[in-house]
Formats: sequence, C-alpha cells, structure tokens
Amino acid sequence: MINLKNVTKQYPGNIVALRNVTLQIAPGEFVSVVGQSGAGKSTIVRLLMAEEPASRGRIVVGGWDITDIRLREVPVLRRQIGVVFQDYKLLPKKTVFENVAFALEVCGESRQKIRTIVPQLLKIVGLEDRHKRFPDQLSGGEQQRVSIARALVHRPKLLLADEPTGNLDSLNAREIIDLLLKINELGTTVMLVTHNRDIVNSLKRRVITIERGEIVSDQPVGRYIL
Amino acid sequence: MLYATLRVIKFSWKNIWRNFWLSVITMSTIIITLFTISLVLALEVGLKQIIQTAEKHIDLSVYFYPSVTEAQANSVITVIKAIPGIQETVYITKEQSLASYEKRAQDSPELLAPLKVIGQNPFGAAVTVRANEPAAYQRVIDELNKPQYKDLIEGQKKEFEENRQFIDAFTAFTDKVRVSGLVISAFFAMIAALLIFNAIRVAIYTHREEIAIMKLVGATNWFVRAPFLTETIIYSAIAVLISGGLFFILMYFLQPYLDGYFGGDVAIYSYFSHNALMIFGAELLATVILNIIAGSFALRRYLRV
Ligand SMILES: Nc1ncnc2c1ncn2[C@@H]1O[C@H](COP(=O)(O)OP(=O)(O)OP(=O)(O)O)[C@@H](O)[C@H]1O
Ligand SMILES: [Mg+2]
Repeated sequence: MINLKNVTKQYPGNIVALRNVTLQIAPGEFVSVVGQSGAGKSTIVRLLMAEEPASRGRIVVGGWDITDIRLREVPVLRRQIGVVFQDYKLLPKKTVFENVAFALEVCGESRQKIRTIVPQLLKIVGLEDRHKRFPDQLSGGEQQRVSIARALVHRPKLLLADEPTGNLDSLNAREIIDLLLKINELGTTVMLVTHNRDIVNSLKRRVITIERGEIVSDQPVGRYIL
Repeated sequence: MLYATLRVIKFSWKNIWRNFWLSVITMSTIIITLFTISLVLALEVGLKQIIQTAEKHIDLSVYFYPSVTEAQANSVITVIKAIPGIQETVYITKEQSLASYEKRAQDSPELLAPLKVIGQNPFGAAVTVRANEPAAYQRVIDELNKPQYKDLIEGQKKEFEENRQFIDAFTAFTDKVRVSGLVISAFFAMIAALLIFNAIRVAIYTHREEIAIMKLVGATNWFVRAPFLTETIIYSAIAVLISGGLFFILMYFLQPYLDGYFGGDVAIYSYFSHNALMIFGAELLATVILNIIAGSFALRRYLRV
C-alpha cells in the first residue's frame, strides 16, 4: 500500500526532515509511527498526501508512483487517501452533517449520493444522533470522529492519522483508537502517528520508530521504546 | 458538473454577502468606472452630433459669369461631381438667382432700382456644392482655380466660414474631451482592478479553512478557484446592470433639456437605447475580462493549488 524507497526530504534552509527512509506497508496493515517532536513523522504524512515533494527517492501509494505527481493529479490522490489531524479542521459554522457533506459537495457528488453516504458514515463513527450539532457543541473526541467520518467519504484504502488523539484525554483517545481499529477491520490500511505510549503498547501492532529523520526501529509487534 | 457549477455559484454568492461592505465598495468602484465610461461615450456622441449638424450648414457656391451657357456650366458641374467627397450639387439658373435676389430685396426698393436701370438679368447661374468632408471643399476650390475655368467662373464663396472655424475648434475640443475621458476612465479602471484584486485576496483569506479542507478531501483545482472567479463575474454583472440603469435614468431626464437647447440635433437617449445591447454588452465583456485578470493575479499570489 505504501512504499518509500530511499526517501530524503530537505526543507528550505537545509533542514533535513527525513534521511534515506525506506519503508513498506502492506494493504490492511495497522501501523503506528512514533518518534520525538521534530523527528519527521508529519513529514512522512505530507509526502504521502503529496503536500510536499520528496527531495530524493521514490514514493508509491496504492501502486501509484507519486514521486513526480502533477499538480492536477493531486486531487485524484487525495480522494484515495483519508487524512485526520490533531486539530480536527472542522468548519465551525457548519453542522456535523454539513461538515461531512462538504467534502462530497466540493468533489461534485450528487445531492442524492450525499444524502445516503453521510448518514452511513456518521453511523460508523457513532454520531448519527449528533448530526445537527455544531462543532462547538461536541466534545473533542466527537469532533475527531466527525473529522474521521469526513476522511472516509471517498471510501479510501488508506487512512493517515497524524496525532489524532493529541488533544484528547485518555478515555476519548481510547475511543478514537478503537474507531481506527474498526475502520482497519473494514479493510482500510491505517497509519497512526502518535506520542501516546499507553496506546502504542496496548495496540500490539507494528510500530515504526523515527529519530532525527531516520527509522531506528521497525517491529511487527512493537512497543513504545523512546 | 451541473452540481459542481451550481455549488460554485452558491459559494460565490454566499461570499459576496459574507464580506458585504467590501463587496459594496468594490462594486461601487466598478460602477463609477463604468458610469464614467458611459458618460465619456455620451459626451463623444453628443459632440459628434453637434458637429454633424454644423457640417450640414456648410456649403460652397460657385458663380458663373452671366455669359456662361448652361452647357458650359454643366461641364463644370460634371468635373465637380467627379471630385471625391462631394455629396451633392444644386444648379441654380440665372432666373432663379434673379428671383431669389428679388425676393430678398423686396422690402428695400433702393436695391431693386438698379435692376430696373439695367433692364436685363445681370445674374449668372450658380452651383451650390455640398461635401461629405471638409477637405473636399478645398479640392473643389483648387480644381476651379485652374486656368481653364478663369473665363467661366466669376467667383466662389464658402458659406459660413465662421461655421467652419467653429467646427474645427469644436473637433479639437472633442478630441481633448475624448483623451481626458479615457485617462479618467483608465484611472478608475485601475482602482477597480486593484479593489477586485483586494476583494479576492480577502475572500481567499476568509475562506482559508474551507480551501484547506477542499484541497484535503480532493476537490479539483478548478473547483477551488472557480468560486472566486465567479465572484468577480457576479460583481461585473451587477455593476453593469446598476451603472447602466443609473445612466439611462440620467439620460432620460437630460434628453428634454438637450432637445430644448439643440432642437433635436443631439439625441443621446435614443442613441443609447438603440445601441444598448452593444454598449453594455461591451462594457460587461471588458469588465469581466478585467476582473478575471485581476482575480487570477490574486489567486496566483494567495492561493497555492
Ligand atoms: N515547512 C517547513 N519548513 C522548514 N522546516 C520544516 C517544515 N516543516 C517541518 N520542518 C522541520 O522538519 C523537521 C520534521 O518536522 P515534522 O513536522 O515532520 O516533525 P514531527 O515528527 O511531526 O514533530 P511533532 O511530533 O512535533 O509533530 C523539524 O525539524 C521541523 O522543524
Ligand atoms: Mg507532527
């Protein structure tokens, strides 16, 4: 599903965020990526969603070599990848339903399709009874679930979650992780970037550890080792 | 595609209301620009009509010696008619010349007395020449100054020489009006373009969250840009409508005064109503092009897609 080959990312100002990273993730995997602040975790996410180009190396996502992706192909890629962030990036003036529907609207989907898909997604994330609320009427965990529902509108094969629990207490965080596991069970590959030791240790899944732009450990049933 | 188009229009429309006062200011400037351009055009049309009217009052009379026969006169007229720019020639016989003299002099016996003394018609025939363009008169005069006409033509008289001078001065004035009008219009157009640029810049800023999410979920670049360009088109359309409406109202109330002063020679209102589609269509097209250019600059500068 993901194939990074000798990828180096250098930001302007000679900042090397990733150094010669090689990494493979198979379809259906649930992978945690851990590492200290500034290690380069978010940079991997940005490369995978083609928000930034790699300086060197090759990047393949879902069989598509996106190393030299063209600007007008980026939307096609984005429709195959769901992304959620620490700050949920919801529109405050739109309801839960509208926030999820917005992602379909701007991709030109029909009203009919929106009316059938959005309730399904809200059901998956367990918010079917909250669809009329505005983001500020929801808990952090609920807001993150809206954001996850939105990331799933195109039925992506890959879900990138960059510290989705960073703003949540442990109970809410646990619920979000359970939701990600559920989505993974439904067939979506999940890459979880996190700082949360307890979560990583309890998952008992593959863990990739990054330090100063390099992969220092990659264990099939990993533990948080920093 | 239909959904996308409708949504684009909806987004743009919402945005115009979201930054209401900014939209009002931007639109007002476009309206002022268009109104100025229409006024310049009206002035130009009015002045042209005045000149045309004045030009109708110019003609050239060529007087033949009384001894010249009609056949000789006709041969000269044929030559004149062949000169480019000649609109018409009116032949006046000796008898008509006499009659018109008598008519003009009927109340002053001292002018008629000499006629009686002479006892015959002292007038020659004449021809009145009217040209399409002022330069044609000079060509006629040059032609008739050639030696072969010396024995035929007693004299020429360009009527309303002062009228000619008025027209020349007025044409120069019209040119000045046109140039200053264009300069002022260009100045306003520049301000309008800057304000459009700014309006789109602010629109991008107020929509930065939406734009980020649009890109995140895979909206096409076209879909991200289109609402902003549509917004400039909506601005243009509304501005042309309002400025056109205001202009027509102004002309409607102004026309009676023009009629009173120029006696129907200056018909701006009817000119604009006959050419409304052309004029305001052209204004709309020009505004849309200007706004799309200004908007595209803002998009390229502030919207990384
Ligand atoms: N746009 C940028 N321009 C320059 N340097 C950048 C840019 N983005 C990130 N960096 C640098 O690249 C390095 C890796 O950043 P990255 O965001 O990938 O870290 P991270 O592992 O996600 O950290 P955190 O856990 O704090 O989110 C850091 O040193 C950061 O300062
Ligand atoms: Mg990060």
